Amino acid sequence: MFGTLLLALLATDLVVEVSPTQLEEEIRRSKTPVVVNVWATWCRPCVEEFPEVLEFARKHQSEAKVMLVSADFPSRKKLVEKFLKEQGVAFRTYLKQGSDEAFVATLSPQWSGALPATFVFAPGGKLVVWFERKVTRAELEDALKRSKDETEKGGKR
Amino acid sequence: MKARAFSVLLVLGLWSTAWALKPGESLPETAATIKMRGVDGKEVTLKDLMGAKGLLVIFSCNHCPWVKAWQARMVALGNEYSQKGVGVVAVNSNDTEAYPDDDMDHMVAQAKEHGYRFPYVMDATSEVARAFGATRTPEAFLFDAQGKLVYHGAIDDNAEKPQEVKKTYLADALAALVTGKPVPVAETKALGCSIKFRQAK
Repeated sequence: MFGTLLLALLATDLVVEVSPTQLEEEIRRSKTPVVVNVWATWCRPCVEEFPEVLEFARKHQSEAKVMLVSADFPSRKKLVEKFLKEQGVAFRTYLKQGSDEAFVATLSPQWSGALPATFVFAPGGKLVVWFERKVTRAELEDALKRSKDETEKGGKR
Repeated sequence: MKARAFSVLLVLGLWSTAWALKPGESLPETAATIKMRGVDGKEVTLKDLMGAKGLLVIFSCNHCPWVKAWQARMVALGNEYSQKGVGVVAVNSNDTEAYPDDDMDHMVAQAKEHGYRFPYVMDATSEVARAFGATRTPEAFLFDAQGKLVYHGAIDDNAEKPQEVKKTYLADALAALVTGKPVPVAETKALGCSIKFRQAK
């Protein structure tokens, strides 16, 4: 009984629902650059780029906050958790909740809403680079470097 | 200096934004005459499909969960307004070699299963989607009788839960169009599957 409960708690922890307002707050508050990757279990290009994003996240966990935000419908949360476990993800990830329009506007008003999409913010919340397509680890590393340069220039919002 | 600022933006990737047709702009001439085969086997162009009141083009496909979620609402609107003088067409621009679920056989089955009473056609080169700057499915473009874009965007504001929809964007735009009123909201966004473009040959 306790074991089941504990497992349930752990499972809940792996995927946390995030509203556009909460997402904005997380991005703004971070002391390190933030990489937001919007994906879905049903999105093939997202699944294809996933290992690259994950490798980046693991290698740069001290320098960047990587937020994997699933855009799966909330009713599919179990499938999201299953996928993340299969991929060996052990850190907290997110499930998009609430208005699509506010979500898109929070990340970039220029984004059309198509998946996959990845956004790199400098500390303070300024959007430095974004992609409306699959990304590679090398591209993310380059983006991280740029967001650090941005920080040194005092490029805060 | 301006040019330099622009190139900096380019380098920073802030201009990676996909261009899309803006409200007030015309139905792209290049796309309007491209022949597309429909699920009934006939070839049509957007020009042929323009109705007395306007034209609704919805970029769609078979495999995408957002399309599936919105499908019943999309079909209801398409069926209703194709009877009210609006030309209606669903356009599938996806690369069917990479996504076999989006091929013609599956299109035929989908149109039949969901009772499409408007054409569902294949944009066999993805050029129609490129000419519109369409990026995702489903994505609606509504033109008036003069071929000016009056609405671009989502079907409504809640894909997953029809009962929780608060803003019926496309329905409102269609209702305004056929009664000669200004469209209340001309541009909206929603999440969607990226269009799986064929590589230009």
